[in-house]
Amino acid sequence: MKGKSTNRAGKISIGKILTYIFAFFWAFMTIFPVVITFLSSFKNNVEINTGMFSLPKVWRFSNYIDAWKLAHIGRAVGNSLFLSFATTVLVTVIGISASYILARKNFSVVKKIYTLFLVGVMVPIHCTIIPVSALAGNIQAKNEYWFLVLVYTAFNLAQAIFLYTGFIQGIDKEMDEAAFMDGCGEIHLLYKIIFPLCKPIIFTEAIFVFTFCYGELVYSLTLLSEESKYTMARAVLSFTGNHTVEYGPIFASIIVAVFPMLLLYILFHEKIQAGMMAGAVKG
Amino acid sequence: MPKRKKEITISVLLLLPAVIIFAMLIIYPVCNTVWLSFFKWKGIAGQPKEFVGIANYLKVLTGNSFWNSMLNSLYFMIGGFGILMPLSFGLALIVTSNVRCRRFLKTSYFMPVILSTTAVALIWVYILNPSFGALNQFLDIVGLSNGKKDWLSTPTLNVWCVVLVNEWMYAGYNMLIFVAGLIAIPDSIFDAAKIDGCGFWYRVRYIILPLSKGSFKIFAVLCITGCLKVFDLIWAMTKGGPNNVSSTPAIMLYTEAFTYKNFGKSSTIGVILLMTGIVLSLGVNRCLRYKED
Amino acid sequence: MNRYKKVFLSLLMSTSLVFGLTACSESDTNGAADTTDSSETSDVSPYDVDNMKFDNITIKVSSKYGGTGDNDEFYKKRVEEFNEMDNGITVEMDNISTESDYLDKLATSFADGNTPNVFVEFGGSRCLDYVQADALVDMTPYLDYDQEWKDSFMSGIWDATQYEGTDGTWGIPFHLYQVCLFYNKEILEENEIEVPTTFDGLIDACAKLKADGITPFQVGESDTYRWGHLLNCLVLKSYGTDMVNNLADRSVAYDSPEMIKMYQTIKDMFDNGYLGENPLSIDASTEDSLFLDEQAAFKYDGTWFISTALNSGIYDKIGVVSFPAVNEEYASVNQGGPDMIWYVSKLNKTDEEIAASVAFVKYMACSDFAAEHVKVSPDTFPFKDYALEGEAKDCRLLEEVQTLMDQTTEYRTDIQTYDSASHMINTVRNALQGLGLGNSAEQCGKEIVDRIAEDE
Repeated sequence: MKGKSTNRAGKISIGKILTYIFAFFWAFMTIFPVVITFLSSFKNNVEINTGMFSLPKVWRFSNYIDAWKLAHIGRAVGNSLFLSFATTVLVTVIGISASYILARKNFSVVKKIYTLFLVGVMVPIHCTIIPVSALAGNIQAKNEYWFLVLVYTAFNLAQAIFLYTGFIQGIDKEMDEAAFMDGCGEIHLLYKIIFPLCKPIIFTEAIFVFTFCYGELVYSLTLLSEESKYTMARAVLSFTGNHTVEYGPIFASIIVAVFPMLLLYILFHEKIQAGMMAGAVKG
Repeated sequence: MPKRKKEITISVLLLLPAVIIFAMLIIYPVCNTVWLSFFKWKGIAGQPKEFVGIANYLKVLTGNSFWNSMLNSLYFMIGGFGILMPLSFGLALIVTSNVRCRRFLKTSYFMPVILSTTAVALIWVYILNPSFGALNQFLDIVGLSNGKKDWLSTPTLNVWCVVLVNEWMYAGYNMLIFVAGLIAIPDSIFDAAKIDGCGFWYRVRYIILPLSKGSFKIFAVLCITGCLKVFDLIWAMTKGGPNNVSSTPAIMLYTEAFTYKNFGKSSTIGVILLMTGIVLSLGVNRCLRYKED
Repeated sequence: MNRYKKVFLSLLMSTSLVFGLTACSESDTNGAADTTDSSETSDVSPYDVDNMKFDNITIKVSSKYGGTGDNDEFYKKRVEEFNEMDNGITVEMDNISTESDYLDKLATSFADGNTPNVFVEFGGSRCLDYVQADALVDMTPYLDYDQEWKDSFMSGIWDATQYEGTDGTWGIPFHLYQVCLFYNKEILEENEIEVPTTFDGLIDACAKLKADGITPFQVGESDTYRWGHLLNCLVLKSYGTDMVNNLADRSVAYDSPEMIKMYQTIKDMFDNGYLGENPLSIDASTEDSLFLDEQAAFKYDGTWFISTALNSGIYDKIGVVSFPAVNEEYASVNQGGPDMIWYVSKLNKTDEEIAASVAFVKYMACSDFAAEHVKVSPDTFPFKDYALEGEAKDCRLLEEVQTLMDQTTEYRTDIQTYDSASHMINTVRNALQGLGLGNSAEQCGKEIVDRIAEDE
């Protein structure tokens, strides 16, 4: 891996010390909000609004009970996980298939289609709400998860194809030719050779897609009305009343929601790492 | 030519699902937006849409508020390229090097995104609060009391505050893009460099940077489009206020449609954003391509 | 509520007849009343929705009661009770408590044509577009039909549901608020301050508090409605309700000397620190917390604040009076009125759905609803008698507020609600925020007038 030689030499250089200082300073910067969120999840509004950084005077576990019972955060997290999984799988399969063609074939339409997908990265989400919602109404797909999954897929597809195509273009074409020589079909090539090679980018994009779906609100709000189908972001809204906000249970809900996401991130990132190991012979 | 025919068939089959979903849920709404941008419509189904030609465009482009919000988007872009890009690239170098606690580091760098915009915004609004926020208290302690500011209510300064929070939040996110590029670099190249006894900076300058060009290109496009569309974080932190000074085009687009029910005007802003995004992305693409030659 | 249990079978047929529509084909087979559109020939009126029998009809109802508070829980319970009744109507709730998200969904539903059957809105300019597009049901005939129901409402609460140029009542109010002045008794006593009854008195009190090192108000103006409400109170208490109409029809401009004076008052209060430290960086929730943490002496807020105060440790220390009058003459004019109004949509809806919707609205907007509500959570409603006797939950503040409401002769809600331009409420509120950024009162007025011109 990179930076190995400085290590090999065994020298403790100033550069290395600075790197460590920066690395851990930044880790501190990004970890402390978690601590604050955790502390706040035991407080009430007055405590949060008048002293967010202090330890809670009373540890209000009731916030967690509220989150669980009133907002059904457990169910909501489950729903969000399901939606995110489904979307991630769909984006990966559909995206990588399309990207393979877009990266490897030189039909004249291919380039045009690629540009079209690129445009998709730029579409502001609020422009699309009304047409998409009307479409859902026309095909009776409101309140249906499969439609929401399609919507999420569409919104992530552009970026996924953009990333995958770039990555596949970087893979040596000789690999393909060698495979064809061996009598491999295209589908075989795609799933047995390209797919494993793309693991780093696939899991990177999977993290992006997952975080997007996990926290998405606009579409889950407009397309879903049934309470049992509420997603995480939608369920958290219930702690905002008409004239009041209950921050304690909101933070508690966020803490509950963080765990599965954290676990998945670590898991996915291990896969990226594995891709890195597979892609190179260690020296 | 049966082989070519087969190739075409496979290509179509593999492309089709993506194209269908995309056409149905992205292209169709975009066309609808473009069409609507030439009309006046109060957003009630069945009510006639009044054709107004390019009146919406004139209205948007001659209004101060739009340019003010574009300026704010520009600040986001400046922050994106000036701060976020080096920062996330640096973090990517760190987590792909052999530092200790790598797993801990790369997990913590990504935490802000996992925490969600809601939590991040609440916490930072609190830190930046002028009366009892941590930042002003900190400035008091270190004796910089005259550096105290009303961070989120001072025009321009508040946008920059959100820009910085944005970079803080998404540094770990963009780090992943660079990591994906970095780990694709074959180690053999490094080994060669190692044998030559090249230093760290030499390797960054002459090996890593040139080979990461693809990642930078991806970052550039995503950064430009992200900055033009920026909505969530600024909405959660300032709601575009006070008095619209921290508004962005996406916030304008949203309020015009859902608060003022000027769906035509809102669509116009959408089209302008889209066009700007396309032009800038193509520009960046071209820039990076020329350097390659 | 027994009324609901009475069943008259032939109602549907006459409904379709009177509406003059052919949506319901059974009406053709019913020869009893064929030519007239008057309900007199038939025994039953199409407006007698209480006595209709519905055939398994489902209506969608959007409300803002998506929270977890007592009010929200009461609302949901009440709807479930309605669903359990044997009337053939099933209500599907969609409750979203966050204002902007609620509006997103409502606006989307109108734009794509799939509106809820019944929804809650503030009324006034926010619903004008819907009225103009003929998307709402006029409630007048239903009110006229059921005089008892009509009479159960307080007088003077209908203005937000009525528009000049249309003679209809387009919604049914079911929740009432008034902006009052809450104060911390202990702080005032400690500083020997009388509860102010005039605006000058309030300013004097603020000056004294400030001199004693106490924050008079801590306003959370990062939520723009806070100064918006202050402006409403000032205008109503200075010029009375005529000014509201004059502003709406532009016979008094937003940059007229009268209005500049109002902006100047707010600016002076802000500059003197009476509205708290950095109000632009504080939101309404923090404002509540700071008042309840006794870090501010006064707080002007809607009567909804009672339920927040009830759960705090300083409930007993809180007093309430009407917002002090600037001009004695208008002491009994207050910002307030209905802030929750039921609207029935007729966009792509059948007659049967509309009738069922009205039946639901009648169940949710009546003095019984209010009487049951105050047993669970203190709140105020636009109905004449929903007795508090003993049954209501701890109601000292509520009783005090109700006394204040009884003294009120005229209500006006947000002034811009009466404007025909729907952007006005945001425009004015945003411009007021400008005062906190150093804009002068004149600039504030100019900004509003410029935006009006830009929009036309």
